[in-house]
Amino acid sequence: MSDLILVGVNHKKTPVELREGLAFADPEKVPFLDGLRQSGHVKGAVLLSTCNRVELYADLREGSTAEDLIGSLMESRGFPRERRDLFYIQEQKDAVRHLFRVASGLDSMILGEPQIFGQVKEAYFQARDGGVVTTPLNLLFQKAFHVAKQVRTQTGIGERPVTISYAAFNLASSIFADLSTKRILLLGAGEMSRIVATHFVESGVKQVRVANRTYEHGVEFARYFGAEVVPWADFPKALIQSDIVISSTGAPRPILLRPMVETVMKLRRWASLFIIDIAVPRDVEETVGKIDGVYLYDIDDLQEVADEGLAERQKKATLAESMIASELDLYTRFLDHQSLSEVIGGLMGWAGRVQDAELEEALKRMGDLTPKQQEVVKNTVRRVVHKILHHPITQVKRLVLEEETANALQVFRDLFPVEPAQEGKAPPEDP
Amino acid sequence: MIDHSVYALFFYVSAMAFALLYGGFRQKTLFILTVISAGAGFVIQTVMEARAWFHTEIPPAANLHELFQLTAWAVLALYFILYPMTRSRILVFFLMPLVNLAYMAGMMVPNQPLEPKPFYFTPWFAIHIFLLVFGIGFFFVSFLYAAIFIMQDHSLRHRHAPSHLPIPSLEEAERWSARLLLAGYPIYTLGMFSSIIYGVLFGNKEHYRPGLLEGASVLAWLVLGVASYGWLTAKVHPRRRSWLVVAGAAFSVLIILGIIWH
Repeated sequence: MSDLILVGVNHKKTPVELREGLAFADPEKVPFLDGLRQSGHVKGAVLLSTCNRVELYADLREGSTAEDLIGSLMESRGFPRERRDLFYIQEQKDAVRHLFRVASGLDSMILGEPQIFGQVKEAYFQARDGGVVTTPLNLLFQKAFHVAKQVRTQTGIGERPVTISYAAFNLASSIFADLSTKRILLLGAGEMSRIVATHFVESGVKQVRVANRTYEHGVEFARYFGAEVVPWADFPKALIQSDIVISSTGAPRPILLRPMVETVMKLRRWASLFIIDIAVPRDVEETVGKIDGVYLYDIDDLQEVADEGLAERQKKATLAESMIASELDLYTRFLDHQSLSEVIGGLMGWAGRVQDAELEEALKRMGDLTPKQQEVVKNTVRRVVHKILHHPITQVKRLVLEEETANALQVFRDLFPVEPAQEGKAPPEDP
Repeated sequence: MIDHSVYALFFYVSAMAFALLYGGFRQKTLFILTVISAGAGFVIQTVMEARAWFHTEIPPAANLHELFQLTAWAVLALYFILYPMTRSRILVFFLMPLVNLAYMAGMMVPNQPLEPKPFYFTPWFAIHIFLLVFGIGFFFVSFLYAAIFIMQDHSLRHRHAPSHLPIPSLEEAERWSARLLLAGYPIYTLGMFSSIIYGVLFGNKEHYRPGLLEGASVLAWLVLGVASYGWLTAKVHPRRRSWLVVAGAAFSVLIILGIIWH
C-alpha cells in the first residue's frame, strides 16, 4: 500500500463554529492541494469539505508526516492552533476503511444519507481535474465508489426515511407515481412547513400555492418557493386542485373538517389527496383520514415513520459494516498482490540483465561454439538463475499473501536489488 | 415416458425462486435470472402446446389440465408483452407465484383424453379459447395491480412506514390495473360472444345446459363490467374498484374450474 494518510475533523468531535472555519469553497480546493504538493508534503491528495466534515486524503511523500498536513490545513484557514486536538489521523488500512464508511454514509450525521456519496465523488473529480490525484489515490477512490454502491444497493440502507420531512416526501412517493405533475398547497407559513415543503419543491412539483391568514406574511413566505398566493377565504377551492396539502397554521381548532373534505373529494372524483398536518394543535379533524382517497398524517405519524426508518437503518448498518470489512480485506489483498508483482518483476528484470551481460561476456571468451552449444550454455545459465530466485520468491509470496507478514515485502526489497517498475511495462514472469 | 411439462415447471419454479429473491434483495441480476428462467419455461411450454394442438387438432384448452396451463402461459405472455410499457420489475415477485400456481394446478389434474366434439375442430373454438384465456390473463395481471393498490392503500391508511418491497405507487398500481382491465374486458367479452354466436348459428338449443362455467363467466363479466364502468366514469373510489377487480379475478378462477362440468 502506498503511504496513504487521512487527516480531518467531523461533526462527531468538532462543533459547527469550528468546522465552518475549516471549510473550503470549491474554487479553493485545487489551489490548496496543488500548494500542498508543491511544498513537497504529498504526491497527490483529495480534499473532502462538506457541512459535517473536512478531510484530506493524501498520498504522503517520504519524510512528511500527518502533522505537516494538519499544519498546512490550519494555516491555510487561520484555524486556532490550540485546537489541533480536534483533528483525527488515520493511516493505511484505517484510512481506507474510513473512506469506505464515509462514502457509504455510515459515518454521516444522518445514518445512511445518500448525499455524502455525491460529495465524495465531487471531491475526487475536482482533485483529478486539478491533476493532483496519484494512481494509488485513483484506485482507492474508485474502490470506495464501488463499495458505497454495493452497500447502498445490497443493504438498501438509504431507502427508509429518518427525518420528518423526508418521511413525508417518501410517503408521497408511495401515493403518486410522478410528483412533477402534482400540486402542493401550503396552509400557514410556519418554519416546519417550509422545511417539509422544500423536499417537494426540490423534486420539481408542478405548482406550489400558499394560503395564510395574514396575506402579506403569505406573500413573503411564497417568495421563498416562487409560489402563488391564495387568499385565505379561497383555500377550500384550492384544495380541489391540490394533491398534497401541508398544513401548519397556528389555529386553535381544526380548519379542515370532514364535511368540507368529503365535498372536495367528490369534486376531485376521488383522486388521492395526501394531507400532512404538522400543526400542534392539529389543523385537520382526525376523521378526515377515514375518507376514501385521503391519506392523513400528523406530526406524530411522521415521527413514527422516521423512527422506524432509523431503526431499520441501524439494522442495515451492521450488515454494511461487515460488507465493508470484507471489501477492505479484498482491497488490501489486491494492493499486496500489486506490490508483490511489482517487486518480483523488478527483481526478475535485474536478474535478467545481469544474466544477459554475463552470458555475452562468457560466450565471447569461449570462442567458436556451435549455435547448439551456445543455446545449451544460455539455457543452463537461465535455469541456474531461475532456480536460485525460485525459493526467495516463493517465500516472499507466502509471507505476503498467506501469512500477511507486515514488512515482508520491504525486507525483500532491502535484500535484493529490485528495480523500480517502468510505467506501462508488464513485469516478467515468475521463475 | 417423461412428461415434458416438467421441464417448463423446472424453469417456472426457478423463475419464482429468483423473483422472490429479487423482492428481498432487489438485485438486477436476480431480475435478469427471473426473466431468463421464465422465458425458457415459456418457450418450452409454447412448443409443447403447439405440438399438442398439431397432433390432436384441438386447441390445448379443452380440459382443466390444459386450461390451467394455458392460463399460466397467457399471464406470462402478457407480462413479457407489457414489460416495455410498465417497466415494473417488482411485478415478477407477485406474478411468478401466480404463474406457478396455475401451472402446478394444471399438473395436479389428470390430462384426460377428450371425447372429441365436432365443435372442438372448428375455428370458432380456437377463437373462443384464445380470446377467453387472454381476457382472463388480462384480468389476472390487472388483479395483481389491484392487489398492490389494496396493499399500499392499507399500509398508508394505517400509517405504516412505506413497504420494504419497492412496489409501485398507488397511482401507478391503479393506472395499470385500470388499463389492463379495460384492455381485457372487450377481449373477454368477444371470447364469450364468440361461443354464443357459434351456439346460435350451429348449436343445438335442446342440449344447452348452463353450468358453473357459464354462470361464473357471466358473473365475472358483470362484476368486471361494474369495475370498468367505475374506472371510465370515476364514480367509484379506486379502492372499491380494486376490490371489484379482485372479485372478478375470483370468478375467473371459477370459469376455469367450470370446465370440469362442461
